Amino acid sequence: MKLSLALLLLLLASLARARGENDEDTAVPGLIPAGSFNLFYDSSGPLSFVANTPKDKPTGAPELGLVKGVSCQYGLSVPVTANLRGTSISGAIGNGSFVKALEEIKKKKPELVGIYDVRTDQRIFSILGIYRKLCTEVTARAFGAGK
Amino acid sequence: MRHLRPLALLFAAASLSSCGLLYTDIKVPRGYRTATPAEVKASPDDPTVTGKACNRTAVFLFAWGDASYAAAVANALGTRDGIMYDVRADIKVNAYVLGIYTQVCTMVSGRVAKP
Repeated sequence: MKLSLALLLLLLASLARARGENDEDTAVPGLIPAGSFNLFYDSSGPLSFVANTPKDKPTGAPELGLVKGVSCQYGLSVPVTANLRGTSISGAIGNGSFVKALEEIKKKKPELVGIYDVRTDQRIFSILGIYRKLCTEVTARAFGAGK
Repeated sequence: MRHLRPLALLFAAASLSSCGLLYTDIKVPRGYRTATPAEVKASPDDPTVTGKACNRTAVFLFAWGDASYAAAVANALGTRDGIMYDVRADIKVNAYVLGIYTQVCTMVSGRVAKP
């Protein structure tokens, strides 16, 4: 009975949980989680990004339409025991930073000067918890240089 | 009872992470710097739109879907070319039978101005 109650409370707590940046613009790092026995970790993730709004677009700057940039971190976690709470050997690598995502956008549209109306999301991909991928996706409207 | 404990821990971990234990491919919202009416070419006859994007999990094992801001805004705008402003973003959760099937949706509602 106690176990069921604990499970129910945990479930309710999980529903109340929210991810990402808060209303107060508190920076929340988006790093890929490390396993219990981490051998190697070389990863960058998003922290905060105060993006432009339509007001920041210079007058006369041409619209370049909707753009999207993705940057990813990758992780591998190999369990070494057959226990559910067992140890795992893990490693993580990649660059899932805002900088990398914005570089990707710039690569696709070299004439781009700035972006506004920015939405940032994270893609979580995992198979058996062994292979994990955490990507930062930046979707925005772009503008070029004004004349 | 002793064998149930690890299983309970597993389920608790799965429900807390909102991920599937076997397979996960979801998108979650992170940030959206929305515009205020002063920042766009707002007009009194701008339409109000609502968009929704969802992630789903089944039996704590599989998680899939796209609950990103990008998807919710795209759903709200439809075929319109505009900028949302005065945006309210909310989360809606539906969970059934102790979370065996769960749907978590990002909902955005706001007005659309011309770009």
